[in-house]
Order: sequence, then structure tokens, then C-alpha cells
Amino acid sequence: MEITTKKITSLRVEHITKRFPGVLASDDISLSIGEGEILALVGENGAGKTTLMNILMGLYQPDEGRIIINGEEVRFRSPNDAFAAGLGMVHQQYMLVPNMTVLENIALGYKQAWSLFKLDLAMVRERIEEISKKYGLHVDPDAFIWQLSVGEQQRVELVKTLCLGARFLILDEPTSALTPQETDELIILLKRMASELSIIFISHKLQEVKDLSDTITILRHGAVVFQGNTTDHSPSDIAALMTGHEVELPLNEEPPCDGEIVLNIKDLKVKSDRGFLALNKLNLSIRSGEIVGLAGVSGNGQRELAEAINGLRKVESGEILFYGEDLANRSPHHVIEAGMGYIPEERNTEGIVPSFSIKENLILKDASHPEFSKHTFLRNKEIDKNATDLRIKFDIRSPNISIAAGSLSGGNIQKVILAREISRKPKFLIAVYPIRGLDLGAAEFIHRQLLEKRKEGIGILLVSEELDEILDLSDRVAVIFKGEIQQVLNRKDANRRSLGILMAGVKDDQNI
Amino acid sequence: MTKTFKITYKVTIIILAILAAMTIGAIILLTIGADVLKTYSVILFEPLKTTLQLSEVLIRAIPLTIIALGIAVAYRSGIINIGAEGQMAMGILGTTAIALLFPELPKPILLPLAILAGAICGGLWGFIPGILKAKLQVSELLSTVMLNYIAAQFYTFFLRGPMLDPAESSLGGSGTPQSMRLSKNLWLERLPGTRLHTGIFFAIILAIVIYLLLWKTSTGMKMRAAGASERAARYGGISVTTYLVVAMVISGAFAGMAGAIEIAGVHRRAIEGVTGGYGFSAIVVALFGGLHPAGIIPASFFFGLLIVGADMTQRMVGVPANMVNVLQGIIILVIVATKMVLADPYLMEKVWRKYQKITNPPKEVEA
Repeated sequence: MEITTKKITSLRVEHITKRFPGVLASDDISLSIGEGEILALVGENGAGKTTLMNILMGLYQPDEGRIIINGEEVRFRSPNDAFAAGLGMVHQQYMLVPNMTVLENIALGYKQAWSLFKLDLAMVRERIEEISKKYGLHVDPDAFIWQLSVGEQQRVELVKTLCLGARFLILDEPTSALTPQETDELIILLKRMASELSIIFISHKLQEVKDLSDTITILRHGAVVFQGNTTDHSPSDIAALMTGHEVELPLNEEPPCDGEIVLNIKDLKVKSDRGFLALNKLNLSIRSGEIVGLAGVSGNGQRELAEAINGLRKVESGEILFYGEDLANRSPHHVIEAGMGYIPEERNTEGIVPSFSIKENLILKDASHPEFSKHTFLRNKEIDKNATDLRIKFDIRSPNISIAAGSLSGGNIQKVILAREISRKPKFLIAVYPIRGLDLGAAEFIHRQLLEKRKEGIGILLVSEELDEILDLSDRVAVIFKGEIQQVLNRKDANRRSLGILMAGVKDDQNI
Repeated sequence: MTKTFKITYKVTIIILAILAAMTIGAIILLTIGADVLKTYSVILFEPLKTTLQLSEVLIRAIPLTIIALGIAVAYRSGIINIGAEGQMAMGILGTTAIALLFPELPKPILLPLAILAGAICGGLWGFIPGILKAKLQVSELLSTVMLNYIAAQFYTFFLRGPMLDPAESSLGGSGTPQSMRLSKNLWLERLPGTRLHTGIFFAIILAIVIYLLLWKTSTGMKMRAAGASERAARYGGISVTTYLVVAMVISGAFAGMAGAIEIAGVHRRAIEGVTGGYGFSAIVVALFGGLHPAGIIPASFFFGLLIVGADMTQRMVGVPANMVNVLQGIIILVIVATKMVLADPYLMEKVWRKYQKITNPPKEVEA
């Protein structure tokens, strides 16, 4: 296909149908985007958003239907065809080489700068500057990727896609890894960019959809269930259309609890991977039957705290008293046996062994437990029964219990982890970003489970940067900033404003 | 995509791969002026024609199987053991030492004791890189390869020194440094008229043991978890470093046992150069067999066939045995490439579309 540089003034998708064995992944989908428009594509996990985008990007061929750009039908036989037509996609996972500079990363894909024995970096640099200026996207071409924050890396991805000639952007859940501040910046940026190009924006987060998009298309089970102007509908309308029923995220409305303190962290000092003190004399206590939300912009020591409690990170000094016993520097196994449940941040790589089956992952922590093994031989019957029961109880959607857990969607992986952690009957639960990237249905389910555990008298430390999640569930909110607890607020004193200020590092907001 | 299509697709790719390997091999054989068809038929079929030759193939397959099983355990646990060659040599030394020290012990005691000594010496040689990796993050690629050299020197030293057959030094002997013939109480029974020994049952039993260990026990599950995802294993309370060391010890012990069986069954004495690259070929066997006992046994047989076939081509067609090593290399490359092709869903999708276009040209389909 010939490379053109014409603006894409309209993109239409007509009656796209795509079947996979046993699944109708796209069911007669039509949508259209005009010049400078931002279309939000919304739907639960598995609703068919990714399939549709893969069709647009030439990764899949539709069984039926056509794609029309600027009034002309196009056929993409490979992603290269889609690039040539001016479509560019920024994926959820960034595709950057960490130990190369921004300039080098962009040059990798910038074929015009390549000749037989020479790579014209000056030309790439010029192009980057041109794009940066045009769209107001600032990147330092000489910074190494590993030095950049997630938000900055995303900007590099955007610049890269634009440098390579994209005149139409597809963004797959661009905010899923961003802090609230970075999200706001991105939304402003995208709005500005919309004057130059059109954007399809895939998201679960309805507030962003409201803030950013002009029109909205909702998919459910592969079909379009709703199309309209964003301004005409409230987030809760959209949520209801998305899931097919009214969704109400559950709230913690119980009175503050007065259980005994079960986890008491005293003067905890822990180093980060890069060697500086990620936690500096952190103090925090949590009672049984209480949810304490740990609010903070990610990277302020949340990960290190969770890892230190669970024996996965060395403690420099301080105590982690758990039912009176100091857990500092004990082995992960010891902490697990002490009754600690842990839903880790990296659910795909840490919470499960991706190549293991669901049933194996469900006993990851209990392979030697007499319930599942006898004289070290695994008791397959018990393991199958355990998995079958949990699959039903936790609504894990999978064809069977023997498929690799890594092949499940994010929501279902999280359910596997939750099922394992809760069924182990823990005395305490640490949940780190438990609903990050999940759709509303899954989020609701997970929140209900957490609240139920709370009712049973289990203490929960909920680490999140979503203020709504923290405010919905917590009895008390602790705000972490640069490895220290800024302040602990009772639920009635916590609101978006007070937390936002504390998260930004201001301790005393009387003067603001 | 239909199931028949998927199977046909995969089988076709495998057949194409075999053809590709044979074609590349044919080109190389042509350049040295060999008769291609005859060479292939000698390598692949000649060794199977007589019981004697078949037994020689099986003799090669025994150490390959045992070592490859150990390598599979290590690999599955996340550590790559390239040191089997050295571990095997150390195993032979251990076995020989016991046999030379206690030649009078009755067979039911001497044989197990000697094999155990082989396992311990090999296991120790696996333990060193294991503990270095666990405690100091020393790359096992480095340490296992280096330990191969050290083991080779030990082996040479003992066979030319303390263990040297007295007959060799005074009367000239064979000219190859070797120990004296070991006590009869160490010998494994042989199939009459061949060198095929009872070690074959030992190899099969070990294959079953490894299968049970890795897939049926909690220890094996933890080892596999440590190998599949170190982070998730640590999170799950599994001591990754412990299992890493355990896996290397098992791996080394298996190589050591392979050495013990080899001299007790085939040579009945330790000879210089008896390891003969088994430790390296077994890496390929383990990977070729999909790191699973059920795959390793046929893979060992296949490589045994190649080794014997190589000897025979040299004798019968005049193609140097080294050329067969070249063919082995080609086969390995083709296997790696085939695995990548088979793992590419987009390619399959593409072929499926082409296939559909050919079989049922586009027409109006009911929605």
C-alpha cells in the first residue's frame, strides 16, 4: 500500500463481523469518526474492544464488513498496511527498549532514516522536535527509557507513533498505569491533539471517558449496544449500559471498628531496588475487622511496604508486629504461614505462575499442605475439587480448570488470586491495586469480597491510587508520601480534596 | 479454525521442517561429494537392521536418557546445566574409586554403593554451581562450563596417576590411559552376544521417577514453579534458591549415575575420553524431548541412532563421522525454527485464510 500523508478526515467501520471458534468476537459492528473527533470505546473485558482494534490495525481480517478511510475502502492485510494508511496504536504495554535512549527507540521504527550502513539520527531528532512542537509533547530525546516515569514513557510512545506517520490514534487504556496527576495531564494533552487528528480511546474509567470524548460507543458481547454523544449521558448511565445492569460499587458503611491492633508497623526502614530509602521510619497500625486505605501516588513506597511485610524485601530496621510476632526479615513462607494474605501489584507475573494451570495456581501456596499432598505426592482429586469449587464461587470465567492461568483476562486472573488468598482463610489481607485495569463487573465483585472479609473480622490494608476506591472501602485512610505516612484520617474526614493535598506532600492544608 | 485444519497445519510444518533439514544436509553432503541418499539411508536405517547394531544404538541411548533427565530437572527449575560432561566424569571417578577400593564386596552391595558414589560425586559437581548461583548470583553458564574443565583435569590426573592400570605403565598396554578392569561384582548383566546391559531398565526407572517427581509431587511442582516464574514462586513462599540447588544436585547426580552405569555396563573400566560428549548431546536431547521424560526417551534413541549411524557412514559410505555432527547441528537449528513457527498464531491465521479462500471461495453466507 502506498504511503500517503493526507489527513484522515473520516474513518468508518461498517458491519464488521469476526468469528472465532465458538465465539462471535465482533458482531456486525459499525462506527464512524470524523475529523478531530475523540471516540471512546467502552466495554467490559472480553466485550470485543481489542478484537475490533486488532482488525483496524490489520492483525486480524474481518470475516465480513469493511473499513473505509476518507471515503475509500481499505484492506489491511498486515499491521504494515494499517501504518501506511496512517493508523497508529499505542498499546497498554509499552514497546520500548529500556536501555536505549528515546531517540534510539524512535529511530528503530523510523525507516526513512535507515540506509545500508548508516542510521541518520539527526534526521530522527529533527522529526521528534517537529512532532513535539506540533502537538506540545515534550520529550528529552537523549534520556534513557529506564530513567523515565510511566507517564513519560507513554509520551515517548505517543511521539514514536506520531513520528512514524500516524494521523489517526488508537489508545488502548492509556491511563491504566498512570497516576491521577499524569492522567489529568494526558487528558489535556489529548484534547489539544484532537485539533490535529482523530482518536479512538479505549477505557474502563468512565470519568475519563466523560472528560475526554466527544462520542461514545459501548460494546457488550461483541456487539454495539449504544452509540451517542458523551455529553448527554452520565457515568452511571454508561456503566449500566456497559454491564447490562445497574452497577453500584459497594460502600463500606459500617461504623468504625474497635478491634484490637493486629498489624503494627514501627519505624520501618526499607530500601528500594535502586538503593535509596523507600520507607523511612514508617509507622502504621491496623485493627482486626478494619480496612485501612493506603493512598498515595505510586512510587512513594507502597510496593516496598507490601513486599517488606510479606518477606520479599529486606528490612533495614524497624518492626512489623503481626499478632505480636515480629515479621521483619522472615521468609515469605513464614509470613504466609503466619496467616498473611497478599494480592500483589503485578498480578500477571507475581500473583500467578502464568504457564501453570488454574488449579495449580490455586494451590501455589499450599502445595505441601496435607490437604493437597500426601507423602509429598499431590492429591489430584482434592486439587481438582478445590479448583472446581473456587471457580464457581469466585466466578472465574474459563473453559476449564486446566488451562494456563496466564491465558485468562486480567479480571479472571485477579479472581484466581483472590480465590486463593481468601480460601486460605488468612488472618490479614494486603491488597495492592486490586482493581487496577479491571472492568466494573470484576471490580464490584472484588470489592464485595473485601468487604465481606472485613465483616468476618479480618484486617485489610488496601493500597490504591484510585481515590474513589479508597473512599468507598476504607475505615481509615493513611496517606503515604516519600516513604512516610503523612497523616491518617478517619473516613468521615477524608475526601478527594483533603487526600489529594496530602498525596501531593502538603501536610498542613490550613494555609491553603 | 477447525481442529483438522490445525492438526494438518502442524503436521505439514513438521514435515516441511524435516524436508528442510534434509535438503540443507544434502547440499553439504553434495559439496563433499557424498552419495546423499545412501548416506541418509545408512544413518537412519542401517543401525536398525541387525540386533547387534540396534543394541549399540540402545547403549548410546542409555547415558543420553539419564543425563537428559537430570538436565530437564535443572531446566524446569530455572537453571541451565551445561556441566553434565564434567559431572559424568566425576561420577565415573567416584564409581571407579569404590570399585578399586572394595573389589571383594558382594555384588548386591558393591553395585549400589558404586552407583551411589557416582551419584554423590556428580551431585557434588552440580552442587557447586547451584550454591554459587543461589548465594552469589554466579551465572551457571559460566560456572558449569568452567567446572567441566576442572573435572576433565581431575579425570586425566586420576587415570594417568593413582588409578592407572599397572599393566599400562610397565608393558605398554593399550596406550590409552585407563584404570584396570573393575571387579566383576560391578558388572551389569548383558544381553548375550551384545553389549546391551541392564542399565536400560535403570534408565527407564529413572525416567518414571523424574516424571513422578516433577508432575506428581509437591516438591516437583515447587521446582517447576521456581523455574517457570521466579517472582511468582517467591511470592508463593517457595524458596527458589533452595530448589535451585536441589535441582542442580539432582541434575549432577543423574550425570554421575550415567557415568557409573556406562562403565559398569559397557566398558567395565574407566577410560580416558569415555564421556565422549554425552553431557553436551544430552542438552540437545533434553530440549528435543520437550524437557519431558516421555519425549526424552525417544529423543535419546534418535540421537543414539545418529551416533551409531555416524560410525557406519564413515565405514560404509566414506562420509566422515564429523559430518554427522554437522547434520546434528542442522537438525537442532531446524527444531528451534520449527518451534517458533508453530508458536506463531498469526501465521496460522494467515494460512487459514488462504486455505478458506481456496476451499470455499467467498459467497453470501447466512448471518
